Parts: sequence; C-alpha cells; structure tokens
Amino acid sequence: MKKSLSPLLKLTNFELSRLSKFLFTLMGLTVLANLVGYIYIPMKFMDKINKFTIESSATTEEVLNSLGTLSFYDVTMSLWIVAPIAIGVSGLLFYSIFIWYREWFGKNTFAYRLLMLPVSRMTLFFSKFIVIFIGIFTLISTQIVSLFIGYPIVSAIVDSTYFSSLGLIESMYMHPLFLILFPLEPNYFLILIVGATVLLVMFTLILMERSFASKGILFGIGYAMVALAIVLFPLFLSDIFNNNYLIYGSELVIIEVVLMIIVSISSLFTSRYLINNKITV
Amino acid sequence: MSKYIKLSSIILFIAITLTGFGLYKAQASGKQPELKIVTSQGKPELIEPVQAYGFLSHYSAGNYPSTLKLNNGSLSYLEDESFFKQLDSNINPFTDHLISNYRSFMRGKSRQANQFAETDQYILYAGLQSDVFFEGGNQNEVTLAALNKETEEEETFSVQLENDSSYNEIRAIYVDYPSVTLLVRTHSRSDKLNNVVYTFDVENPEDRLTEEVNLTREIGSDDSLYIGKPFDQTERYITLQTARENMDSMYTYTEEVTGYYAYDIKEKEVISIPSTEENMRLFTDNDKLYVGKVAKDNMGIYELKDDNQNMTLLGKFELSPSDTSNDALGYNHFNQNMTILNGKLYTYEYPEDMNRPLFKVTDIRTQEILFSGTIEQKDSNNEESPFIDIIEYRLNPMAN
Repeated sequence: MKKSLSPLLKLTNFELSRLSKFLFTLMGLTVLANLVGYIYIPMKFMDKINKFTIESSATTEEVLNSLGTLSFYDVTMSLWIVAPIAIGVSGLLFYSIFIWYREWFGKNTFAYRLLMLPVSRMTLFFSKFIVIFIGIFTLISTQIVSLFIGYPIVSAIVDSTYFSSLGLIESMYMHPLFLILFPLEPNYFLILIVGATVLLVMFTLILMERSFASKGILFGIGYAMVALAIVLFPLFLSDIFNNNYLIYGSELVIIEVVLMIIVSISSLFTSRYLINNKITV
Repeated sequence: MSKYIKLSSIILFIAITLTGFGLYKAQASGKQPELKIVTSQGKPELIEPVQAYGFLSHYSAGNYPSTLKLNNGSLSYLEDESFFKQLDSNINPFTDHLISNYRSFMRGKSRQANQFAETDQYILYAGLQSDVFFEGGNQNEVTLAALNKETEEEETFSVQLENDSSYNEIRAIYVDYPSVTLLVRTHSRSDKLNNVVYTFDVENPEDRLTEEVNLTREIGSDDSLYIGKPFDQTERYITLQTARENMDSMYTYTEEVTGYYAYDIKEKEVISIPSTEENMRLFTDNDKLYVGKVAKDNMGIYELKDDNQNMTLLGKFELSPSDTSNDALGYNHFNQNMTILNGKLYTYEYPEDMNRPLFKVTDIRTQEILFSGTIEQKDSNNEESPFIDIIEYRLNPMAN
C-alpha cells in the first residue's frame, strides 16, 4: 500500500507544483475582483442614497421607498463576484485538457519521460485527476473565505438603515452558482459525482485522441456520446412509457448514481487500456 | 517533508475552510422552533384525524419558510426527513400517505388526491392518460384500479368513457364498494363544459361507461361548478356549488355563488338546496346533508330532512370574523377549512390576534367544543410566535 501511495503522492505533488502558478493566479484574481466588488458596489449605493437625500431633501422612508435596501446577495450577484467564478470554472476546464497536452508540447516531449517512469501509468492518470479536484476545491474554498471577509466589509460601508437583514448564509442559499458550488444542500454529493464522471470521460476522450490521432477524436466523440446517452437515458423513461410517475424521484437519483459510477468505471478501464497499450509519444 | 509543503498547505486550507463553513452553516442556518399542539379545551386526541401541511416562518429559521407537517396529532418538519424521503413525498397529506404506505400501487398513477378513495379494505383509483403524462393519449380511456389492502392484490381495468369530448378531466371519485362514482368534467369540441357522473362496478366490470347523470344539464346553469372538498369519499352525497365570475376591473374579478346543490349517489339525482340571503356552506356526513348559514359571528347548522327542502336547526357555532368573511372557493373545490366528519364539525381558522391556525372540533348536535387548540413553541420562554400558513388540509376518516 505504502509502495503505491508514495509515487501517487510524489506525482500529485509534482502536478500541483505545475498547476500552482495558474491556481494562485485564479485565487488572486478571485480575491482581488471580489474585494473591489465588496467596496465599490456598497460605496456606489451609498453615493446614490446621499445624492438622492440631498437633491430631493427626502426622509429616510422616502429614500427606502425609492431606492430600497442593499443586501449582500445583491453584491454577490454582481459581475465582480460572478465573473471570477466563471473564469475559475472555465480556467480549470481548460486546464483539465491542458494537463495532458502539455506533456506533448515542445521539442523534448515530456510525456516520454513520464510514461517511462517505473510506476504504474495509472498513477499518472490518478495524480492528474486528483490535482484537478484539488484545484476545484481550492477555488471553492477561496470563494467561501472571500465571502466571509466581504460580508463585514459590505455591512460596514452601508448604513444599517439601508442594509438588508439578509444574512451571509441566506445570500448563499439564494445564489444560483453558490447552490451548485458550495456544500449547502444534501444533494451536493450528486454534483461531485457528476463532476468526477465528466472529468473521467474527458480524460478518456483525450487519451483516445492521443492514442489514435484523428481517428481517436471520432472514437472519443462516440464514447462521450454513448456515456451521455447512458446517463441521460433514465430521464427519458417517462417519455418512452408516457408516464411521469413510473419511477419515484429517489429511485431516479439512485439509478443515475449507479449509471454514473458504471460510466466512471468503464472510463477508468478504457483509460487504463489506452495508457498501458495504445498511447504513443 | 518540506517538498510536500505546497500540497499539504493547500489540502489543509481546503479542509479548514470546508469544516469551518460546515460548522458556520449548521449554526447560522437556524433551527426550526420545536413545536407542540396546545389544547386549550377538550380532549387532545380529537386532533388526530387532522392532517395538514403548512409553511412556517420564524426569525430563528432565517428567511426560508420550513414545511410543517401535522399528522396523527404530532408535528414534524419535512426538512428533517431523509433526502430520499423528501424526493418522494407529496405536499397533499392523502397522496403522501398513499405513497408512503402503498408505494407499489401508486407507481405510474396520478398524484391528484381526489382521484383516489380509501375504505377500510380498499384503495380505488381512476385516472386518464393525461393525468400521468401531460401530452395526452386517448382522452376517453380511464384506468381504474382497486387495491385490496389486506391481500395486496391489485385489479386494473381499462374503460372507455362514452362521450364525444375532446378532453376529459376526472374531478373526484367516490366509493360505495364495489360501486365507484366518477365525477368527470367533459370539454366538448364546441368548448362547452359539462360535469358528468359515471358509475363503475368493480365486481362486474364493463368496457364502456355511459353517462349516468349530466350535472350541468340537470342544474341548468353554465356557471362554474365547485365540489365540496372530499375527504371521506364514501359518503352518500356530493355537495356542489355553482358560481359566476363578475369582472371588477380589467384584471380582477370576484366569484358570486349562484346556487347550492347536492348529488345523491344512492338515488342518482340532483337535489337543489334552497338558498337564503345569508352566506351558506354545504356539508355532507355519512348519509346526511347539512347546511351552514353564516351570520356575522356564528354559523347555524341545519340538517336537511328527507324531502331535502325542510331544514332543522341543530345549533349555532361561533365563528371568527376572518372565517365568516371567507367565501372559501378554491380551485375546483370549496370548504377546505370546515368539514363535518362523523357528527363532528372540524374547523381551522386564523383569529385576528394570532398568526397561526386555531383548530376546533365541535359536536354538531350538542354544540359542545370537543377540542380547541393551536400550535405553540415547546420553549414557553420564547415569546416570538412562528407564523404558520396551512396550505394543504385533510381529515383522515380512518383515524376516527
């Protein structure tokens, strides 16, 4: 056990070192953009309040009726918070592809050296998989920490009269992105399983392309489509049998989880076969 | 070890953040208040037939309302149930009871409670293809099913409704086993709506059901027809009201009740109930028909005698002003908050000084209040009362 874990740890550490610059950039971008949002949006709001109060000599009630209150949720829905999340998600998606192709770039293909290492080639596969997940959770954690820093900043800038009583956790529950990204609901495990399955299928697709060149792209697309069809099939059972109540919600979730596990395991076996027997440098 | 510093610090950062977040979420999400039924008068066990779902808002539970369940005299939160149980549950107490206890029978059947009826021994169902799949199918073919609760044997029948409608809608079913009465709204091709009664015999099944009584024709009015909310679908009468929409402005309208009727399942005839100037409520219980005449702060309950024209006053019952003003016409049904079951009048109302329902059970013959009570917090030191809004209510006839 110790023997196989050590190379995995070493390779994961190695992959993380290669990712770290990109990851720290994304973390920095998230924190910086968020901080701007936490300061700029409430200041702009207070500015508007002050202007309105002076220009129309309005009472607090009149101001509230006209401009309303600002909640932390309003701030989190701004581009200063949403854009870094979008960049982070697309960045890591891009990196999930780049993590393989970078080995083939340049004059001295690094892939050759990696594949010649005296360890199981699947260790290399798992280290890349783990690093992507570390990257995802690092960005999620950064976003959470940023929100905890942001809430007191926003509440300090906005006058309490004009600050909505909506708390930090309620703002998170209302946010469509945080509901998916943060472990707020019990169905979070489903999101993790979906993420892991997508990543495994994507890795298989890349390995197919690396193994069979342009033919591999076709195989890959075919494989991804079959995987997608398998996972989505239960969602169409009601249309096939013309009955929406044939399967209970809980059963549908269990079937989906089982199918995603099947797709993940087949992706792992296909990837193992490709990486051991077919991949070319 | 120092070569793993980056990896270990990142993992530590993730672990600490997510653990901290989990702890904060548990503490900040707020706990729903612990609630209990407080009996102010009468016997606490008399609340047991009441099944209800309601939304609860409370300062300690944050900005999200919780879903409160009242069943068999005890209170619980839907959110406290397991993730999988929540996925399968239904907001209607009757449908939820059927899903929980007769899961296999409920597979592939509609989730509309009024399409099911339960007796001591059987559960009966009638549904159209459009009830289970929105894109239709044969609109005249009804699936009827009977489940023997004891033997768990299910019999399914497919029958054709004999009408030329483009669309049918099963509004309610009633059972006097083996006879099942279906109240169907038919949409003719000329857009005319008819409410038609069909009868099916489970022990002598036929392939086709012919119109037994056309309620719309018998009543002689094109006004909308409302059905008394059926909780015990084994009773002899179906209470009915007709109502007309009066447009108050371009966007708002009020509904004016234009007539009171009952359908006698045994005699297969429509009874016209003489209306008075007062607001009226119709009730049915076993083989009796009652009329409630609503005055300013009370309601007199009258029993209709054999000729269905003479009424005998049984007694007067106090009502809160909020309840007397409520004309109680809902989608397709009336009388959700007032029902007579086995000689007892069950009501729930919202007194003006309370933000939660007050449940009452009164004997209709003696006018004695058998139960009166509301929902309170277990922690009596907590002065803040939760706001509870009943969204689904049912009386369980089996609980009596």
